[in-house]
Amino acid sequence: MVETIEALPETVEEQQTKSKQDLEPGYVVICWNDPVNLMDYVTHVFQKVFGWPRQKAEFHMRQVHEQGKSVLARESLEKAEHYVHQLQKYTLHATLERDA
Amino acid sequence: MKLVEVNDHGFRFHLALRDRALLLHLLELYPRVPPAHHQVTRQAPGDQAREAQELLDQALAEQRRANQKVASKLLSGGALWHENHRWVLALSHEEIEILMQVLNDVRVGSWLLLGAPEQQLLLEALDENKTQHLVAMELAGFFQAQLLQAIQHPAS
Repeated sequence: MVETIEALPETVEEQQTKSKQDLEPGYVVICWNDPVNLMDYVTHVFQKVFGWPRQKAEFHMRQVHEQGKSVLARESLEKAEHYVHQLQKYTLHATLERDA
Repeated sequence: MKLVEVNDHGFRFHLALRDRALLLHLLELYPRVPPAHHQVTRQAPGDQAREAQELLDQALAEQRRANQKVASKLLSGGALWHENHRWVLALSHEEIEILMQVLNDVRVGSWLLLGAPEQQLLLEALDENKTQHLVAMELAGFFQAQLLQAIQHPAS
């Protein structure tokens, strides 16, 4: 009983630290250029996934097209994963990377 | 393919016989992108990346199953029927998004089967098999453009 009670605070602290790391912005969501996805389609997907107005979605679409990639969001791991899942459901080439 | 009505419930299109045949052909090709194509990160693999990859694989597998249901509904005539000498396609707002995902999967999957070319392919350099992939890719793009037009400019 005593051992269990003594061990509990450490466990809780470790879990809290891990959760904090996962929740802090430390990841970027990147969309990479490819020659197959239609420009209008990419704009539409950005609007749907991020809720952006058309102008902002078009800006990022053009960045992808002209510069090869665009950083779409800086987020916690959990949120970055969510966005990558949504973008890949539309078959866009999107990944999450650690924010350098 | 012509948009004839948009309301709170969704979209209604009229399709020529040829449009219907081509759309159904594309739906039969779904899914076309191999699951291994989807990578969650470009960084070196580690425990966290492996975990994230597993989550992505699970999410996409679930989505493929859900999308397959909508594709099956279209193929079985649940959303595409004959009425007054024309074919009618009725899609809810959710279904039109799913149909775009399905079509883009066919487009990207066909492109992968062509060897993921960076530049436009020369028709004379293609064999019969690759010509079919190219046709599927272009047709999927055509239908995607129609659906996007309906969503973005429903009045035009």
